[in-house]
Amino acid sequence: MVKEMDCEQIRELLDGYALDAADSHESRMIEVHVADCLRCWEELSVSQATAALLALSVRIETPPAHLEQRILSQAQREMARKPERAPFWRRLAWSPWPATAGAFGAVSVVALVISGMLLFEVRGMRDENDSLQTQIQAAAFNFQQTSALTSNQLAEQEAIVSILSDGEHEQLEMKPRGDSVSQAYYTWSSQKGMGAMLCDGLPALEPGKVYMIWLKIGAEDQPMRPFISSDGTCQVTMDLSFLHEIPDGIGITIEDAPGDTTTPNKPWFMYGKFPSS
Amino acid sequence: MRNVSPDEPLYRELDDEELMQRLVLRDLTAFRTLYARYSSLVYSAALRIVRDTQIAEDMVQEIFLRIWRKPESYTATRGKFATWLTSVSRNRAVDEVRSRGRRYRHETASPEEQERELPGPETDDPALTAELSDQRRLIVTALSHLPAEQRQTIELAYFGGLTQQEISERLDQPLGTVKTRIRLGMQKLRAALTPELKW
Repeated sequence: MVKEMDCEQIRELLDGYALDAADSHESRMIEVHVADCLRCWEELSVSQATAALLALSVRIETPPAHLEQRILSQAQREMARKPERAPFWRRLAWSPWPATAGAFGAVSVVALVISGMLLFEVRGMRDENDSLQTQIQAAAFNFQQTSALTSNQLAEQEAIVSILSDGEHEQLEMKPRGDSVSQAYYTWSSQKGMGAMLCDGLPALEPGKVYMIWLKIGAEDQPMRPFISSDGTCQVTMDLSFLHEIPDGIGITIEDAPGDTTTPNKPWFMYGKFPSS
Repeated sequence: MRNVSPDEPLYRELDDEELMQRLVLRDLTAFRTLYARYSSLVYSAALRIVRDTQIAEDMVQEIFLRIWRKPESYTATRGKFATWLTSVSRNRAVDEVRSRGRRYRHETASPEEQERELPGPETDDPALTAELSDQRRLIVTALSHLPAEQRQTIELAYFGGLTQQEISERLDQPLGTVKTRIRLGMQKLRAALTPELKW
């Protein structure tokens, strides 16, 4: 259990933390504190900005000329190999969402039809070739799984389309802990009572761990949804119809699977404070 | 001699954020322009910490290719691109030092000596070169105005990757003294660098 410290005590420690020189116990105390204290968070940001400027004081050395060619050649090779995809929310902004959702729906239907046809075929060939039957059943099963997955994705994306179609939907950029490159945006529609978490660059979790979304309402942390990410992205929708006021903040923690805890394992992995609170 | 794209002069007019946006579209000329602007800075920051030219070169390659692969890892809300980039370089270099269990002696030149011996950063962009030079001069001056023990403590933490406890052991000073030196030194730096912090 981390003993709570007041703002004055925390501020004594912020510069050491900003220089990446605090010990792990102090670091944890600071992270727990700033997750809930905007003023200390701001103080820490200034301290980190000061520390970052130190890097600009270094004596300037010119890298060898061959290095540029090496790096550019590698970049060129990678460009030829595989185009990088823009993060989810940028694609979200550029793509025609209703059409995308429709396309997913069509894929679902096609997958279901194909799986049905495969099963029909399996029945016809049952007496002819047991080995082939097994293979085709496996293929049919895979199609059904794909179909179910696509249906879930479709439901999530329909919800996101619904949120974005509200002209008054709002968006909050969440701050990652430390130097993490993870990015997350929480977007919500008060009118529709729905919210969605969109993220990218999430680190792979250890086995048995899940990400968990929480709403901070006053002194309470309300668990919302656990999720996992196989590719560092997420698109998680939430029913907010039970809310009668804007919460104070929204955070993501890392919890033990299956994520049925009622107490967040702080510090927040990412946190965003709602502007009106 | 590298090939110069006919578009490069136009790209030099673009600011860092615009170049990063073009990277999302896999624009190699934008990448080359960013490299020309910042490779010296990244290399220097890495070299200052790892003290090995080969490792520093590998880090420059790793950092720039990481930017190429994931340009969205930088957003303007993270502050100025140059500050973010050097910060990433510093953190990566310190990770390297820590992972190798190596501790480097940081008998670096004093800020006054650095000031004398150094030209400013050189980039393809004269305006940027001037800006970085001014910024660097300001930071080196601010560091030179710190009492020597405060500057040494801050540099051991930032460039040496040492924790306060390790600094205390290295300097044979009480941990409380080390923390006080860091706090006072950082307060003075913050006051001196306030104009640079407005981003």
